[in-house]
Amino acid sequence: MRFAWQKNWQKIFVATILLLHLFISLILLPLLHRTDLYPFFDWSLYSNRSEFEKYQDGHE
Amino acid sequence: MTPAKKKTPHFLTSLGPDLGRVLLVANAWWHMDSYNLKNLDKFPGDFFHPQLFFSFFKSLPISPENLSLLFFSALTLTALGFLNPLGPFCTFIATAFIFGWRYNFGFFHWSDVIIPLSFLALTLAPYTGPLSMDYFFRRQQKRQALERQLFLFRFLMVYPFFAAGISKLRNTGWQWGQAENMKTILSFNYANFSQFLTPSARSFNDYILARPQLLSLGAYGVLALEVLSPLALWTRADRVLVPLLLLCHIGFMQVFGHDFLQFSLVLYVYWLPWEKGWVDSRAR
Repeated sequence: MRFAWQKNWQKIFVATILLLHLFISLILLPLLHRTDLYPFFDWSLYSNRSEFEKYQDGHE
Repeated sequence: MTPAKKKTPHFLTSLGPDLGRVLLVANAWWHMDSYNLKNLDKFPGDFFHPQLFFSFFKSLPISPENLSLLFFSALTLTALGFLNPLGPFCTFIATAFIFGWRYNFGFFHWSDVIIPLSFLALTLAPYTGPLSMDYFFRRQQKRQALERQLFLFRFLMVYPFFAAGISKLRNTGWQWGQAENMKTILSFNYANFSQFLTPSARSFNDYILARPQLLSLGAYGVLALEVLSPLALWTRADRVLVPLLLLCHIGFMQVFGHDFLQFSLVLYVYWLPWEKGWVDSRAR
């Protein structure tokens, strides 16, 4: 037995991804930008970058 | 009464999923090789501070020492098409782990994410054609599985274009394609990436910068193409849209110095009509 949504799974899949994308980019990230939570990365990690490049063997 | 003659597809038309899989493996291998995986092994363990989405990697039993081993054995398993979703799944974990590692140091290689995602697609929609171990051992390969895999890869190719289109509209609005804005973008690009430009690309940049109307027309053309690209998934427009997207892809590479090679031209392979080539592995 096949349900209607099984026939339309492609459209449901694409709509779900699109809605998630729009939710994150239009609602979640702008809201996070207004709070102290964002950026949530520990930017001090960037000080490791020069150390990282030593291991990169001239890549980039 | 003679039984109806079964239609057997031509051998070449059934090669699509195998061709795509092997090319994806080659692409991942080539791309990861440029990352110097051997040097990645030498990192001290306390270098790794995965954040947010990537933090679950810290709880996985993967150590830097056996990372290459996992990666290359998973790639081999994928290329052979043996125990099918296992190889792509391990490759997905290994590549995502390596990206988590690199993001950790402030390299925003966001566009590389298409590589783990392509192996995730192989995991979610497992299908292997006649050039695989699974086919040799007569594991069942359903027609729907082939269709699912083809759809996921087509989606994976189209969505970055679409996302680029709506991000332009969201950040700049419809004015994005106006000549003044494009001049700013191109000049910035010219200043920062000129070492990647060939002499002919440089002369094309000079040519187009002197012709604002042509520049604007091209920009709006690309924008329209990007926004309309999902139509290729369900309509006959794919016959026009996909070659144009390929043209754009090669055009960006030649003219602006952005190769987007992580998107790997491999994904265009999945747009050929491979659905016709499904073969029943159990009814040979």
